[in-house]
Amino acid sequence: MKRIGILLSLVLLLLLPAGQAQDMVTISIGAETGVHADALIANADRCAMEVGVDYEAHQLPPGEWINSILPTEAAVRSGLYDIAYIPISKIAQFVAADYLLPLEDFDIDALDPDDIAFFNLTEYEGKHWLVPWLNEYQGILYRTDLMNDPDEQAAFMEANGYELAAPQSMQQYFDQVAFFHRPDEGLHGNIAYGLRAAWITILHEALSFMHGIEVVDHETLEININTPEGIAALTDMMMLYGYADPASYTAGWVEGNANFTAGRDFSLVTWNSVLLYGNDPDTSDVAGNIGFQLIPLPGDGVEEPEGFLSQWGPAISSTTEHPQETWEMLVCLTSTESGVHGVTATKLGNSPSRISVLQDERALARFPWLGDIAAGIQGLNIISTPNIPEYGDVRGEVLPRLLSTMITGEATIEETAAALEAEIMQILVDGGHVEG
Amino acid sequence: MDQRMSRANRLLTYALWLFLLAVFLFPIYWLIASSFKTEGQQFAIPPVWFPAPATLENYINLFSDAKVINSVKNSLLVAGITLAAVSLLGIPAAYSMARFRVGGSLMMLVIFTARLLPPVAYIIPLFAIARGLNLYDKQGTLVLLYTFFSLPLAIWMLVGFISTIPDEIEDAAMIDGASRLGVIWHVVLPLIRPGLASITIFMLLSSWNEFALAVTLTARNARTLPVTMYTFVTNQNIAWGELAAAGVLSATPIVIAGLLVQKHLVVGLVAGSGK
Amino acid sequence: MPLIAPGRPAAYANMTLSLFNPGSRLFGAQRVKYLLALPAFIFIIIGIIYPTGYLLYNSMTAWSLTRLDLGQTFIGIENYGKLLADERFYSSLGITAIFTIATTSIQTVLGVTLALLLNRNIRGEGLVRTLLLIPWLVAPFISGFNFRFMMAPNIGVIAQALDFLGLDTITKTSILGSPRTALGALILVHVWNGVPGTMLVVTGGFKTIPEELYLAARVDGADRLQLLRYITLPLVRYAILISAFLTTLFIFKAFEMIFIMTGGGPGDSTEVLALYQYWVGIRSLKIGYGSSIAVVQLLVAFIVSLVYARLMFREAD
Repeated sequence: MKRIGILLSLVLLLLLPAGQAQDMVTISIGAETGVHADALIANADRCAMEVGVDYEAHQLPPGEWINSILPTEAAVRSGLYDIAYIPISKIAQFVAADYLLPLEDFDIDALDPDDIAFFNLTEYEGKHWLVPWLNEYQGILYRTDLMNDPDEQAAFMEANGYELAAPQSMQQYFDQVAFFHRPDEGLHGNIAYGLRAAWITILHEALSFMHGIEVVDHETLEININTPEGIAALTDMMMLYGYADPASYTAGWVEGNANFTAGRDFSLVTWNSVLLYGNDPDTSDVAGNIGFQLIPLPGDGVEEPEGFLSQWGPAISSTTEHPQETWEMLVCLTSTESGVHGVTATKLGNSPSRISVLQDERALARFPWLGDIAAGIQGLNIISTPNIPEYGDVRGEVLPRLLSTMITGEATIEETAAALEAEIMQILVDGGHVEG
Repeated sequence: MDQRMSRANRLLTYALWLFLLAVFLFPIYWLIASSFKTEGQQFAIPPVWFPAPATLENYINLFSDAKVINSVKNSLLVAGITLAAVSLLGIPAAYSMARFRVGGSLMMLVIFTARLLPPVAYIIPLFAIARGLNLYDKQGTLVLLYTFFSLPLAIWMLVGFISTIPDEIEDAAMIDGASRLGVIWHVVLPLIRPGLASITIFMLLSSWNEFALAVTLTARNARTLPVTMYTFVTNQNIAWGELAAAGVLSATPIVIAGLLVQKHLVVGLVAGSGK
Repeated sequence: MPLIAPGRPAAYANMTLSLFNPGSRLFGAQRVKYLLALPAFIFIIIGIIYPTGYLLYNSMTAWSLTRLDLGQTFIGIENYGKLLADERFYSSLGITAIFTIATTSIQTVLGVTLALLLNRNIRGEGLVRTLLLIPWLVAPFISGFNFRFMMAPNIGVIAQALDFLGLDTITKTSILGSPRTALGALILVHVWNGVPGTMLVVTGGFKTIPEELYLAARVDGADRLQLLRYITLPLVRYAILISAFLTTLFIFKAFEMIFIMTGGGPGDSTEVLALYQYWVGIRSLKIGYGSSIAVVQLLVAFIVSLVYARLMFREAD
């Protein structure tokens, strides 16, 4: 009996939380594991030294981090993190939970806001909530080696009556996809993501933009799915799957990109961050042969380019006990110097938000295409998605499930459109955003 | 009983074995092969059936990653203490249930129920409870939970083993003046040693490979190997080479343990279930 | 190892009786026997009651992490009413039933067959059996990724092999990308993962059969099939039942490999209850509604295990 008692108390001792006494302030950073979060945290050592604090970085699996761990923490408010690395699409949700401090509480000018491209997108309820670190643009990746081939150009001219060049309109893109679709030669017009996961929505979103609509209007919350344009977008999506690599039906992010970089496909509608490894000669057969074109919109897209953008960045948790130190840390982590370091000193780099980083020679030496982005940003008109807490659910759950039913032919376009509209409407009603 | 098997019959048997092994172990081969592939070979089209030249890069990356080393330590600690805790709680309880029918079938039913709880359903309650009690990111929390989820099966199997021991053996020991605990320690445990081997494998398997709870309840300090492995899946990429290498490494100790107790594993489960 | 009368789970049967035995008193002379069991009992009961109570309570609230302004408002059984009218719930219940029944039966038949094939006292048998255990020992989510990549078109080795065999009609739509093949593929992968466990338990059952029974039957002129039919299978029936029970419970809760391989898709063709519960309760952050799905899941599992328990107790008589 005695022996068991001793063993039991040993177990209990081990279960007791180990107490830690520290003099220095510790700033805790919560983020996902991933290329751009790595690039941010690569600066933490230096910044902690500059600010004079200790830091700890918690990097958690990406899906779990943003979809379950941080929301649960926001509900429980246990004070795990001082800085939370989040995307703009989640700002509304965390502000609703009263989990974030507005940057206006601090000396916001210390960030040099004018140097940050599209800082205005982080605005919600009149205040800014995160400092953009990654700016990721949605567009079409296409093969420049095929596009610039004189024989192909001649044949394309013959077939379509106009010159083969970077797609400036939806119709041009469709013509090119059809033209380059040669399954017998192992080349497909495009590859799309098809796994039931958020990636599948990229193509649908892009096609909706091409038809001049937002899937759910970010201002009016109008659902543009079971409408003539919405149906047209779904129809075009099915059409593109007809010119797609068979791998599209199950492709997740990795499989989709792997097929494209293996040179099997002419194009891929995706985020520009695929350029980070599409141009890596170690893993890509098409390194150096990839062009990037922002989503072409109806009308004249050349004079007034528009784009769809995703941003991630660090935000300050309202549970922090050291707001001032946290703020100083945040300023340092998102400075130009940190941005350049994030691009140049990490394995895959980053697609930075700061204009001064996009124009920095050291950064450009690594990724010449950053210059194109820097040039394109001027006058870029950003399309957006609704800033409501539930939109993550629409994009991460409802759209993937029903779109995946459609592309496998289990539901017709009309059924899909009706079902999508009904489910999304229900979510908007439940969320109290529109009248039932 | 088949010593008189004909040569043809023997050949046929070996051919069948080879076929079975090929079918069942091919995915394992693929996992191992993936762990020796370079990034470029990983998702090549057509697939690379045999990685030549093989690279050790994935393994080197793993071993040079302090997070991996730390989580291996955590996993060992958590699995080890869980095993100890399960034994400490389970053996006396199972003994008492098998020998004196303490708790009766009602308790057996309750224990069944504990076995039914789907861990995924408990993630949010457990996170809230763990944070509320300051138990987040502590190895002890995982020990507590794994003990809870493992204990029912352990008791269940132990009851089966212990009730195979004839009362007379224990009675003899009691007459010689041994205490109840003495009997458990000196008589019961040695007799059910083969059973303990199989329970050990079962318990190790469940706490060593558990993912759903660990990913929610640990962050940096207490993170176990499966969660660290999962962080090779990032928003940009799946580092499949390293993930596969980590998978091979994490399975190795259990495979070795399984090989060591293989004889007992087979005999062991008998009593627990067949009885 | 002491031999017992094979196939007779006397201990369980006796326990059933003891519950109704007026002679058993809670605090007899030998208090120690209760003390031995008490820590584990308390631990298990608290372990069941605390989180399950929390779950049950959550299932009667409107708690949603997208509407933190609403908090944990108590709404009674409203979630359950909603669940009863939820088509997706019935769909996932049906898929769970197909998935569980198919996996359990295939795995049990295959496991018993393998156990029989490897129970002939031939040299090397033990090694083969141990090697066959390996699929069971690899972390499920690693196996999930492994199969997802193996089954993918173009980059996948299985797809390439099928193409080579001229079965490219399957891979054109891809194995996991078609609702007609995805669930089947998941069933096979789970069988692959679980069959070693069944084989172990059943092999264990064989080893309890006294050799004398076979000798006696042989003397009576029984052939091999008759031995199997009249001695082996009847005597390991209980072991088979136990392993089927454990498999059913395990497969009913299966989550990781499905989540990684298909995420429940395409569409909701592989969305089992555990996945539905995850999508609603965790990803869509509707904790209240998600909890009510979990409670129903628990209830179904409980009913299934009651059926098994009945079968097992009957087997004991």
